[in-house]
Amino acid sequence: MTTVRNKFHELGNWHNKISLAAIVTREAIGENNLTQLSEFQLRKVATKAIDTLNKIEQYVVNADKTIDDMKPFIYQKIAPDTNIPK
Amino acid sequence: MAIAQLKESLMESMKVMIIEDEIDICDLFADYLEMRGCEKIFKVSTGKDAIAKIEQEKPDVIFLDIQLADNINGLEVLRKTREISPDTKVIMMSAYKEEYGQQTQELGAYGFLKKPFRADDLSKVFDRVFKEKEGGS
Repeated sequence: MTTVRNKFHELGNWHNKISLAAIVTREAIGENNLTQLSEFQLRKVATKAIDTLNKIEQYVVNADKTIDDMKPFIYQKIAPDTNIPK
Repeated sequence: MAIAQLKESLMESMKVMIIEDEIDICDLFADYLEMRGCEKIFKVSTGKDAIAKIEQEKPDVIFLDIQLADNINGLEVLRKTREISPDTKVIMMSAYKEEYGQQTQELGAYGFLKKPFRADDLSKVFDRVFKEKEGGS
């Protein structure tokens, strides 16, 4: 059964993945002195960075879907425009 | 041997295990460790597989999630690790540091990484583990 707790957990997981993928992207680019790399090495760094950026994009889309799933739980209890509990 | 070379060879020889039920987090974490120079990385998603692998490999460091893919959780894996591989440094990973921080410390965890991860926290834990390994070798 889908519960609001499960949905919060799911959202937390997307959040964790986004933050870790951002750290990996930064590590891939930031740890290298780019001016000293060969073309082959630069290509490798760029490929890795693009790969993790693609992942971040997908995780954000998935997090957004989870938020959409959560809306009925929340809006059932709180009026979305006034914040007043129903 | 130059310090940089020594550091590199220590990192390469260090056995690191990631125990985490979320495959994407496991893979990203492994990418991060590889970029920091680790070569012997083991990835496991269940408590049962984790205990078997710890017994077999006696890793230097474990990054351990609390919620795992089977009915054995990270706290049980931590307890078991203290018995079967007492020299292994176990770093717990969870969003619930307030709930589990004290308990895992009492059970012998070496550290705690709060999710979502912050680059500085990861780096600090990693450097601390490495320094101890350097001192112990």
